[in-house]
Amino acid sequence: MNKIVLTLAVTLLLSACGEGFLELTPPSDLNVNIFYKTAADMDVAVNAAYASLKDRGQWTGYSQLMPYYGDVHSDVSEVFLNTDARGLESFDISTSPGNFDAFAGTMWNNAYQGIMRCNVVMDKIGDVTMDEALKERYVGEVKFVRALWYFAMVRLFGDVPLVTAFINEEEAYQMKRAPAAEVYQQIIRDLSDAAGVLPEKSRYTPAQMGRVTSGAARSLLGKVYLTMHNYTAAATELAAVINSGEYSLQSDYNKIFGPANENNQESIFEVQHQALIGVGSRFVNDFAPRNSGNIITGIGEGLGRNIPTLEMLEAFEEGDLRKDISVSAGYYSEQGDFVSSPYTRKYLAPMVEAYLSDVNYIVLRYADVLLMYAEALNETNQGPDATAYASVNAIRKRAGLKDLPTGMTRQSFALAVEQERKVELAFEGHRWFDLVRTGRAVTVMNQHFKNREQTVVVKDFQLLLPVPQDVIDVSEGVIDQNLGW
Amino acid sequence: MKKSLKIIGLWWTIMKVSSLQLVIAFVACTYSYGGETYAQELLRKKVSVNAQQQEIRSILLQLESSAHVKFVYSKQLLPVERKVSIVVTNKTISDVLDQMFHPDNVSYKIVKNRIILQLGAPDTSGGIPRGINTGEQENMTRQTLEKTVKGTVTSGANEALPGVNVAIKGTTRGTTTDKDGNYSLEIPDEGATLVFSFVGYTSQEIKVGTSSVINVDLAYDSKSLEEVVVVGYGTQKAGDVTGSVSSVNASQIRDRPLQGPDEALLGQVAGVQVQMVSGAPGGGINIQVRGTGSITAGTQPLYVIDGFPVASEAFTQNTNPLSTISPNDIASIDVLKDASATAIYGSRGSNGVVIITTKKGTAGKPKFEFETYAGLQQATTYWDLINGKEYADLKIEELKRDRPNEAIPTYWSDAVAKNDKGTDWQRALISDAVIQNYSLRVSAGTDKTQYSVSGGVFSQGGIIPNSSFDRYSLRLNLQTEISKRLKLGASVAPTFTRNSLSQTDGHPSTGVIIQALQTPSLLPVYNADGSYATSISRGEGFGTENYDNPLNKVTNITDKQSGTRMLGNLFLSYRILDGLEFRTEIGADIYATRSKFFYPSTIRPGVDMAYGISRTAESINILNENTLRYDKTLNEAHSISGLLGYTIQKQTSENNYLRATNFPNDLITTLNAGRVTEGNSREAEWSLLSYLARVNYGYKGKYLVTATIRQDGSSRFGANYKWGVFPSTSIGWRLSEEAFMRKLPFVSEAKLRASYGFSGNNSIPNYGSISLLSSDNYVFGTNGGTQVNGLYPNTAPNENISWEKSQQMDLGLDLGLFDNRIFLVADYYNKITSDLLLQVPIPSITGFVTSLQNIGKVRNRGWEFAISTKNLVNTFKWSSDFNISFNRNKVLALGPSGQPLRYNTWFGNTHVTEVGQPIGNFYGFIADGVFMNEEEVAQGPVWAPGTSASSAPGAERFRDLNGDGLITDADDRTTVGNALPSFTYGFTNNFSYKNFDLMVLIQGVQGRDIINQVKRYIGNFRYNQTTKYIYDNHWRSPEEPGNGEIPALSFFRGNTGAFSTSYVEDGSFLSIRNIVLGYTFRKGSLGPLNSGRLYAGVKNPIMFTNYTGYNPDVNERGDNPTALGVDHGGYPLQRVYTIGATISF
Repeated sequence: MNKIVLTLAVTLLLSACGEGFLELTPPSDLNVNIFYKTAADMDVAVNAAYASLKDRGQWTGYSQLMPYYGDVHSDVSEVFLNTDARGLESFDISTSPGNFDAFAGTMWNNAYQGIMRCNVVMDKIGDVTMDEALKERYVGEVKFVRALWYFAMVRLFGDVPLVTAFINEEEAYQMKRAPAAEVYQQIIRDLSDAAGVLPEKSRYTPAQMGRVTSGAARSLLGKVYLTMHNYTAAATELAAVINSGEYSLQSDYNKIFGPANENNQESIFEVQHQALIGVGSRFVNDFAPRNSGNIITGIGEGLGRNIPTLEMLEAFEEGDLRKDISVSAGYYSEQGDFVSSPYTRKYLAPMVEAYLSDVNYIVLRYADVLLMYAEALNETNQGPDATAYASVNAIRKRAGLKDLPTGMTRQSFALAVEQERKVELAFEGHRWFDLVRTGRAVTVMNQHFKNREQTVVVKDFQLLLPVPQDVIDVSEGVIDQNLGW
Repeated sequence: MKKSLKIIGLWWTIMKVSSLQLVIAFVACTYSYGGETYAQELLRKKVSVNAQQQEIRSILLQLESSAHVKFVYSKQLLPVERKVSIVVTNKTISDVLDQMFHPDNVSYKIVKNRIILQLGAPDTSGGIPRGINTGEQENMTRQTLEKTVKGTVTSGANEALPGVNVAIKGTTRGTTTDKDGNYSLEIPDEGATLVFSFVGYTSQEIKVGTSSVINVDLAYDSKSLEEVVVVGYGTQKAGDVTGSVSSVNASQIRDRPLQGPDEALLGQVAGVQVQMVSGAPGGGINIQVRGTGSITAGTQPLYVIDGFPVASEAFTQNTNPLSTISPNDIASIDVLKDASATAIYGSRGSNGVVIITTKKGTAGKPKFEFETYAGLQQATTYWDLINGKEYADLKIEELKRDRPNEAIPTYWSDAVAKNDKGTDWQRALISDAVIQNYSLRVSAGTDKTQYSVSGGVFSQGGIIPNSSFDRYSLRLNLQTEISKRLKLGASVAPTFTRNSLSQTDGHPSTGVIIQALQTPSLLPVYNADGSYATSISRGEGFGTENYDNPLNKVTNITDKQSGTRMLGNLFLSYRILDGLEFRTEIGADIYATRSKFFYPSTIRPGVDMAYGISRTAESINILNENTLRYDKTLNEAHSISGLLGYTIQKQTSENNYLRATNFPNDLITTLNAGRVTEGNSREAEWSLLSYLARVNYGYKGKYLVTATIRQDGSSRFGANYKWGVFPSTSIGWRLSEEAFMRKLPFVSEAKLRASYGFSGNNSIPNYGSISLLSSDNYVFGTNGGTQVNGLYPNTAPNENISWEKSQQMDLGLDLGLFDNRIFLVADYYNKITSDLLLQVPIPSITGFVTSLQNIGKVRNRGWEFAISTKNLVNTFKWSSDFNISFNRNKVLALGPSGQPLRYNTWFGNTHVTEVGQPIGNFYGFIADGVFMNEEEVAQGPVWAPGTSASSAPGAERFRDLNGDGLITDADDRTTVGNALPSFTYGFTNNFSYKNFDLMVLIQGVQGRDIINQVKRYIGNFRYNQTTKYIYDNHWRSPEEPGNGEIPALSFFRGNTGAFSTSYVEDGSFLSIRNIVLGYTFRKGSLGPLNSGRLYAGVKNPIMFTNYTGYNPDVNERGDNPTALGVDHGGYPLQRVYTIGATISF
């Protein structure tokens, strides 16, 4: 009998089998502890950094947020949420910080998630044994992505925490906002590094198209300098892009947009999408007018999230070829009636499934570089020189417009460039940033609201977004609010 | 890879070990186990007796105390006063009994742990115990015997009661019933009174009078102290239980059309709130034991089915794994409530434990039980909506006022002129449906082997087309004695369920219920060509707002789910020594579901393409339990029992998902016809390793102490907290056993209980402690490009993650008065759950917005009372069970900064959970009537400029809480309600008269608020249908201002849909849940049938409530305690008329 008891006791102990039983590795999810070991792992990690830029659902990703902050937030377009809720526009919302928080919060959180994905690559790649040149390129690519996010953040919020490595919760609680100047220095360092190590566009294979090039890094660096009003440095970087011979204007404005023209000769950097779940973009549905059903989209409803304002429709000069390519004043209903509900045409594409389009978001293109160059030269030389004229006129010529009149003052040329950018780059996420950069935002926006007989008045402090209240609350006050909010 | 190999290896070891245990057990062991199986063992107990010339009666008494058995016999029938001498050592009780009673032929029967001694062979089927002709023969012949009375004694409807004492009052004469419950007794005269008594049942006295057949139905004394209560890992006598445990037995749940065992608890148990959140067939039921003890980790109790703790991950609003269990198979449901009862389940016990025990076989000839019912279901209530003419009225009114320049469409004016009734979309959607149930059970056995086999078919149609639930179930329970020491048992229960879901609930973009409610009555169901009408297809008069056709959706969208579940276990028990037993058990719960969804192109032609989804999920849960039990009484005073256990459980689950689009047509709906655009498959595992122990000590049945401890190790816990320890202790004092209580003879039972202990909630994510990578792909390359894989860290790591810890104190009183005709159970408890698992916002500059952390604390405390009374016990019987529970919930801590948790529904932020308040307060504006005219608008308060809404005559006015004259989200919202009830109650009344019985179950909830979000769709917006009440009472103009509460039906008039008290309603209700009238045929009246019963019932006949929606028990987001009490188009509740029959033969 005792033997039996003993045996039973032993079997019990045997089946107690130790701690291993409780240490389960997730079978369907990789985890941080076992990843980032090989070149292939790093490739996938770099891809995820890029992926932070793409449309990942409503109001997410760089390619969704930039048209919102660049255009909807400005005078050129608005959100059209409901037949009866016309004019529920970004600035109406932003006067009530409670409502605006959600939008600002999305920007903030998306940016830092993107930055974290870049930081993980830079933190981990040092210990990986792999081709050194490739390693350098990967680091250059994620530095560009990080710079892109910080550039958006510093322009929207001013001072922001400067996170340049993977940090844990405890470290995060200590981190204050860094002065904007410091953030700009980091952006310049990252972009200069990237420009130094990345190949030119022509050195990439067709399959690699869409990766960051040194041209892209330089173009962005030019824009950063321009934003900092360092016109000489901006002109230098932009001239380098122009002289690289890598880019040229498309002869036909229509050939810049749409899936068929991805990464064309004018394109410098695009956020890439493909019409598959997970990598498709929502532009077609998001930007078609609300209540238009599938008349414009082909499949799925139009949601009216980026609708040209009347002023934008009127901004085009007579005979501007870009107008019909950029906007439409309305559409014909199934019954054949004209519905006067404007929409942008730049993001149209055929789809097989609603909310899944192939449409890319163009971050940088050559026309932008030319116009920035003209702006930089105009400011450096206190007026337009021949090169500045030539840059703008090249773009006007393609649009079927006459050259700018000669003998313009610095101011009038600056306004001409602003107008040219407004129509050339309409709905591409530039307008708001242009207005803030040139110091014209308050004037233009208030005129805009006046034209619309809206009582909204934009004040200087509103040129920066409020730091999302959640962010301040969670930081327990370490992160503070922008003045005025 | 290496790790997973290691795990496979490990499992191989476990299986090897388990088989080794099996082998050992087969070779040498025996074990006894509670309930019926244990009973058979009683006779095999070894005893030693040394008696010289003692009365049998006193020997039996000695045996009772030394061997811990209880004998039941009639001293009138058995020669127990005979003096015998007997000397035996280590013989079985049956041997001793045989020897003592020799030469009389005494048989032994075991009923409910008592040994019933009868004269005669055990298989006497004649019905007349031989005792009549033997022991008392001499006595009887001396008297004049006038007549013979016979009859059957039963319990409940059909259960024959053997061994019942039938005595003639005032004499020493009597008999006992045979195994079929029959008796026959000769009586001296018609004035005699028969006394029927049986331990565990309430005695009955019946005057014989002229009747020669007296059938008696003995009421089960449910609060009898001999009642056995199922506790964790074993059973205990009710009298010895020191924790808070409530039991519901089969007879309490019979005759009700139940979809599963959870519904059976409705209104039955104090402290258990059962919410019929949805009327959907097979739909979810919300059960909470003693309040809401968690915020994110689930509040459902742990379900233990025949000892198998089933995983609860699969619970959702629409599917309910418990519905795989046929209520017909249930013998009892025991709810463990306090920590002393639940701590034995350790990290899974904090939400309470519900133990379901299924019916086991009994010894005897095969007994067939057939139960069936069929019924008709109808919606209990409808919204009172406007008709077509009234709809057109509103449209014209609104157009004239707000858009005076537009012409009135003739479509509307015609409708008014023709007084068009239009379409009643609600009644177009809802129709009567059938419910039916069939179950057959066969049980039989010898004293060594018993089995029970049952099969059932349950089919419930839905009152909304295309929704239904069918269950096909089979169950085999078998137990056998292999040797005197070794026992084997097995149970296998395969079930197949089929559920058609119809997208009924929720937002009108998918949910057809709100869609049907909001669709204008002016819109017909069909176009002239027979196609489904939509506002777009009709065009005229509906603007561009698109009303899908709900009938089209509900009829043509396919959403089906089927489930196959196999729950089985096998145990072996071995009796090592007297009182010491070892038991090992292996069980598996295999549950596979698959679902098919198809959305045809005809729902929104041209807008939506057809798409299909196919999902499969499978979980395999394996359990091995090994326990050692000890049970002994020392010196007749100290009873000690103990339990030591080691258990190991692991679940592996896998699910697959495929979605296809591009179907060329709607004819073939399987995915092969389309192009698969999305696919996914995932696996997950968890494992749990536990050591448990319990000690019970009782001194003379007066002072009782129980202590338990469990140690759980779980794969889910972070590296720093791999193991949790959960101790508990409880004490009981049975006052009624004290001498001083004899002065209060009306007190039949009095017990004070106190307990304190710890348990946990481990329903945390499987891999919550590890920073997981998520996929986020990108595209490179020309010509559309090629997708490339991307992976990034998506969850913040937390090595400290652990179970939620709950500590609970319970004070209880059990009080029985007047022979337990009044029995009261009262409990006070205080339960604090700390280390609540919350997704805590962390600085998003880490790249993570939230991190899962153990933070937060919530308290539930309250009172529970259950009173059972036997109001009338004679021919007309009436018994009542009433229970009422008061629970108060309070959040004590949240997150690091104590920031409130906000929850957004379609209204925006509607719920706030904050420290110092109960979970899930409603948060909104206070409605303050309607602006009657411009002057009132000028007085304000008005919407702050810049907000999307405007204030105008006819618009809603909200209360300006901070008095700044402006309405803002930030300053003018406050707590406007809470969905947690003040108290809940249940009240069951059972009446019986002769063969008739009547049961009425009343259940109610008081002090609960509901957000009637349906009103958002049918009260406020411009194009929608609305209710008659709103039609009659809304603001039309300053001259026709309505009742001052309903704003203008206009978007322009500031009807922003902002959440306010206008949407908050009182969800209190008193519902008569069931009325059942039954008739029981007495034995013999149905020919060859043993017994039969017919009944008619109605479920949900009457509900008293002020709630205007379909169902005040609704909880759209019931899985989320921070968002309770939302009605967002929940499936209507049904009234069900049933007729049923039970036959046994």
